[in-house]
Amino acid sequence: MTSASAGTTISIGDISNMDGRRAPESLLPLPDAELEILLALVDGEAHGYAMMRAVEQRSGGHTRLGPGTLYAALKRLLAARLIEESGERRDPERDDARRRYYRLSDFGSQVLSAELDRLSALVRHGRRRLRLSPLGGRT
Amino acid sequence: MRPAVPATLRLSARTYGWLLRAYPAPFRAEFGGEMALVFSDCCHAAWRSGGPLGVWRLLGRTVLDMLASAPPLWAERLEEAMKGDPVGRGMGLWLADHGLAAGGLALLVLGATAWPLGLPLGWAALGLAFFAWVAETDGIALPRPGRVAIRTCGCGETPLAFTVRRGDRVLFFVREEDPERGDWSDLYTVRDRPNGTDFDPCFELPLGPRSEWSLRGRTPVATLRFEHHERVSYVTRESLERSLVCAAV
Repeated sequence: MTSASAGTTISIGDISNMDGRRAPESLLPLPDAELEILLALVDGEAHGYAMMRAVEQRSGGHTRLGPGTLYAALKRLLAARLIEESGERRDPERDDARRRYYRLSDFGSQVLSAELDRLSALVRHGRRRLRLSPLGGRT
Repeated sequence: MRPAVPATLRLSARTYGWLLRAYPAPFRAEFGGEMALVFSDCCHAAWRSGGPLGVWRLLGRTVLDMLASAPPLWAERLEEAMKGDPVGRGMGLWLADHGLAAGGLALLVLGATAWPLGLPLGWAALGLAFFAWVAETDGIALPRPGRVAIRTCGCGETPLAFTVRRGDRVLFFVREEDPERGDWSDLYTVRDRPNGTDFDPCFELPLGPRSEWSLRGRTPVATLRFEHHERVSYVTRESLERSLVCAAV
């Protein structure tokens, strides 16, 4: 769904269908949930609940992904080949059902780097405009 | 263990199983089991930290999460279903545009003949359809499946210039003058409109090359499919994506 006033976003899943030669920048900006998930997968593969906890811990409890948001984002990331499934097995720390694990793909790493560069540039620009020092506080 | 623990957790798991039905069937088939497992993990964590109240709070948050995450998945599903099926696509778009009014009329007929509740529901649907029509007549772009709202300049089927928002960027498409043909070019030049530029294509004629706006590429006019309403124009998402690939944006 799109609207001029609300801001149009072409989903990364749609763009993934365009062709095989995609520039990482073509998928930017990443929606918040997708960015959080990619960041949660930087340290290695994880299952859904582990990603959810990682996002909550990183944000100090400010960002909580519900199961619907999490798996809708995973679906889009899989379709765009930014992540891939790395098998299904039990979590050694939780002796329960088999869980599907996901990991960051090489292309996903490139897209994440490009997004972080974009955000850094935005932050630098904002700080310059507000005359803030790079480490915080006004100059 | 207190007896309320399993009852609360069981009830919440059953409720979540019911909530999962709000998602499209293929999505549910692929991720439903995992989602139920994750929800169960969250329930146990909420119970440990907050008892039954914690679990009910979690359930409340999960309902909001479902309300936010299910509609886009249905929209994607609708678009997927319409791809490659021109008849289905046509019907889908017609339903998206006129379904509310048609459904309202059907409910009124049903209300007058067999189901009294159909009358208020029918009037409500017709009222909403009317407000949607008034909004679009007033220039307010409504979200439409498979289409993206644009701000245009120039009348006719193919606008001379238009802007379209893409994430936090605004892309500016313009047909520049072709001196050899003495007419407008058959290509749209695509440029990035810098953030914060207060720009309205309608007040920017005559259109010249905007060298200060970074050039993204060029794309044939024929790749884009437009749809014009009273005061709002849309471009089909499919054709926009095709044109962005041509322009290498």
